[in-house]
Amino acid sequence: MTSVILRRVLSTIPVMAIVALFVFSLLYIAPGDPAAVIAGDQASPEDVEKIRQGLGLDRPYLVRFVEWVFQILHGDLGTSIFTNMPVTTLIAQRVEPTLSLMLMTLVMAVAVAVPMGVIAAWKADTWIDRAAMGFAVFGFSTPVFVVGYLIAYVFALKLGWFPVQGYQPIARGVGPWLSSLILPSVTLAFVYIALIARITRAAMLDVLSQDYIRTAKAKGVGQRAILFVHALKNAAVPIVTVIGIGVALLIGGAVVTESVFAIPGLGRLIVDAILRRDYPVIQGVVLLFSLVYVLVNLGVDLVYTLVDPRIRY
Amino acid sequence: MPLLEVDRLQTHFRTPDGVNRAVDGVSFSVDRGETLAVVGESGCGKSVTAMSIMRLIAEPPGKSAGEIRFEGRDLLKLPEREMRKIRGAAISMIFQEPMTSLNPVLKIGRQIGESMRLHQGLDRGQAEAKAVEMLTLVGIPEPKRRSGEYPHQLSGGMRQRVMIAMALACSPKLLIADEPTTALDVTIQAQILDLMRDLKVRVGAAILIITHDLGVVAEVADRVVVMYAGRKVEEAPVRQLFAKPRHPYTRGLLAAVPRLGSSLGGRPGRLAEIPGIVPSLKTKIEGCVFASRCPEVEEVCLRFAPALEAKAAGHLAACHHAVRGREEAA
Amino acid sequence: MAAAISLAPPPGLAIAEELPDVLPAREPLKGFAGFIRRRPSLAFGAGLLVVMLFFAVFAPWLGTVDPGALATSKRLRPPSAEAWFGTDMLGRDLYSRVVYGARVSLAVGFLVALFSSALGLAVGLVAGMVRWIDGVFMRLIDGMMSIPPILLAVALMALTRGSLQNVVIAITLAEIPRVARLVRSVVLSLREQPYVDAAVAAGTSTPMIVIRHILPNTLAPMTVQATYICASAMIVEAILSFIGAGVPPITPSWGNIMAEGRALWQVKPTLVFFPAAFLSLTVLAVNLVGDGLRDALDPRMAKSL
Repeated sequence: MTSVILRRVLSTIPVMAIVALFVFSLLYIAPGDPAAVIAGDQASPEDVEKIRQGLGLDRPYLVRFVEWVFQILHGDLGTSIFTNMPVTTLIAQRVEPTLSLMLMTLVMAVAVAVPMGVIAAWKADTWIDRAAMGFAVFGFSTPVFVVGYLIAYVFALKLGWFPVQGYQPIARGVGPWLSSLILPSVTLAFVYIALIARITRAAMLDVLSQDYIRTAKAKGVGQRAILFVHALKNAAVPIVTVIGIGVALLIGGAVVTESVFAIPGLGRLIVDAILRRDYPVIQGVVLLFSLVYVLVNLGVDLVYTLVDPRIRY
Repeated sequence: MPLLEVDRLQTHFRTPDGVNRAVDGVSFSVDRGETLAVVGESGCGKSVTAMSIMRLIAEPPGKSAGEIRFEGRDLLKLPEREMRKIRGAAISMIFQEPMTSLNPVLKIGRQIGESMRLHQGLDRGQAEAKAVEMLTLVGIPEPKRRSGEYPHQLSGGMRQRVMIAMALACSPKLLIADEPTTALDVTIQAQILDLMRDLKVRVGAAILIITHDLGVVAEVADRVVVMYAGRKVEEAPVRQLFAKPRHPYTRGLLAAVPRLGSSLGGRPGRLAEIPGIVPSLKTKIEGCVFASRCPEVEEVCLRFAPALEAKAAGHLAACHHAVRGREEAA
Repeated sequence: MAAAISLAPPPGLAIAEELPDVLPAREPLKGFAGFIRRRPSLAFGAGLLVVMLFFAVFAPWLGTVDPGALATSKRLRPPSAEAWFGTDMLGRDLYSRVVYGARVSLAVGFLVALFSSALGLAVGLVAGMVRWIDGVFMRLIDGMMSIPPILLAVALMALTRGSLQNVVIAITLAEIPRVARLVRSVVLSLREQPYVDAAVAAGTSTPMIVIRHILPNTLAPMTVQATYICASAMIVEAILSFIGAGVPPITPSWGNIMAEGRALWQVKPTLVFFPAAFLSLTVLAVNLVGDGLRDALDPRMAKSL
């Protein structure tokens, strides 16, 4: 068992290598001259040349890639063109808000979406199901920032229940921290809930039509136990999978949500970096987020073995 | 009073292209300790009848009407809560597919213990202990180890034994077995039937067995109900049915059974079959349901649906021809 | 008539009693009304999409003015008979900008769906048919899919100049792996089919097998996925514009209009509301069409997508 887990863990290494290769190669496949784009329209040829050298674009591709990988393995993600600070330092300053936001969203979304999908499947083709799935389609169709403004307008501006913007570090107390996170998390959870609820419903519908559910009913098992004991555990694999895949949505959404609610997290860092064309920072944040995504999905694979006794690696 | 009385049961389903009259006016009864077999081809409504008794028909698209009296109470009128107390306790059920009828993510012991926890208020430990006892009873070696395993670790025959253990856990008064041996190897079929017969006596349950296999009927049944296209066409004690089938459909069924030596309908060595196909149940059938395939069809059969009539003591058949046959004989 | 034949039964004949209907009879729905009743979301989505396409195609003739025309004297007017949705902080007519914005969003959506389907199909077919390439491709695709699509698009946009063309390229690149994966999985499952085996055994060439057996079967799932990609591309475009990595600010795209309205959203919510409503409705329409197609083309697929 442990050797199997170890093998699965090791298999993330080639995936991360390809992520790195890809993020690195963007500099080369991007149409036009990235150095000129990054330097901006007012830059002198010397400035462009300096940036080109800074990015290593003047040296051969492979040589530069190997160097870059070595740097990363030593914990060096390069230097910001704009602030001249190490990218790792910039990232470290911004981790807490983003991590708080994503964890809170994750908990909230799973707590809402799974019961919602289960109930929609149970009440399939009734108005409850249609309302839940209508909400899900709506959630897919509304960009995160629209949801954010709508929620902020109602609950912060009109009702005044929560702060409109800003983030309170957890060091200043759990109360303010939570209150500053609620609206952003609800915003970010919207599309994630839609995704998880839809898959949960589909997986549950599939399971509820199985013979063993009929067996459970024939034993006199009550509706709630049928749904949550007999069915949900069987539907868990697709649900856990989509929770993992949805983390990609969560990451993309965090970038936008942090802008809407002025949260000084990694998302803001990358948005500011775009405006300044600070590619090393963008590269660093993309790599970090991809690593998070890969690790989450590694975790998901390991969870499979817990929920389904038939799966053995 | 019989244990179970099914009275003019109708179970219909709404489908995209019309209402399917899967069961249309079926009546029969089961006495305490008796074994009644319901036979018929697939699609004749025998499984739907079983599911209707358990009230496991999804509604919508299905709906049942008529009466199903169990110990005098009409199950169709019980609130779901009361019905749940009956399922798995007074009436329990075994299904056709042992491979898919057990929950793959729950341990065997837990699945067997569940109905005892629900209906007899046992706690987890007591239920697990009882589950091991039940596994011993149905002849599973190393019951203690097996109760901690998952269904995928068991063979098909073993799983059907587990299903039986589960069904008998609360000593039901009626056990409904829907094609309990169909999915099993022939050698294992006999073992399972033996086990059911043996346990029936020990627990004192009545059995309602649903099957298309006349061999199984001959082996276990006291009485037989023959269904065709959602109706009951004949009912008789088992010996009488095999000796003197009254309905042309029953005669056809018996003739279609491969047999060594003598055969009832077809020529020796040749398997007879019933020509034609079962009529669609989505349109109302005028006259006798079997008329389209009946070798003895007459004009009245196409116009008037025959009622069930007593042919002999305990022997009912729904056939104009069979009825007139009696008059001629008299 | 039946009454003519149903004479009185012969005496002594036992006739079964007639039982009532358990379920009331219902006329099957036919024609257009039937289509709407059976597939309400598809009908609604398609209708809404047609309306949005109408806006995009006929933008100049729908009571619009030049969406870029500045009028500093008429800044931030509320909705009125003259300016239906009001004006923005540069005095431009919001209604005209929003109507013209339909062109950008729909163009991005359709182009990305088209290109990513075509390229994903090519990649997926090759990966599915040629075994040694499959291993390499799947590794690459797994890697690419580990980069959240918005971040991938953002990274690309940071290296290029903002233009409609580059936005389409960036989003397409981020979507290709998904299509390739789908196509590959369809190809792999088809290759297990006996009739494909038979064709291989009969010496049919690989391109012939692809054209005859593989392509027709990938069409349905790909169409459904293309609609979903179209919807998500429109959202990604808006997000890119919103964070300043999209089409040039001068283009009246819904994302840009919202990005400009952002600074004032607390006092002038309509600046964000109107483009947001149009965008959401359009994406909703495309998603509903996708759901409808999925249900209509293959109910089993409903689970996997």
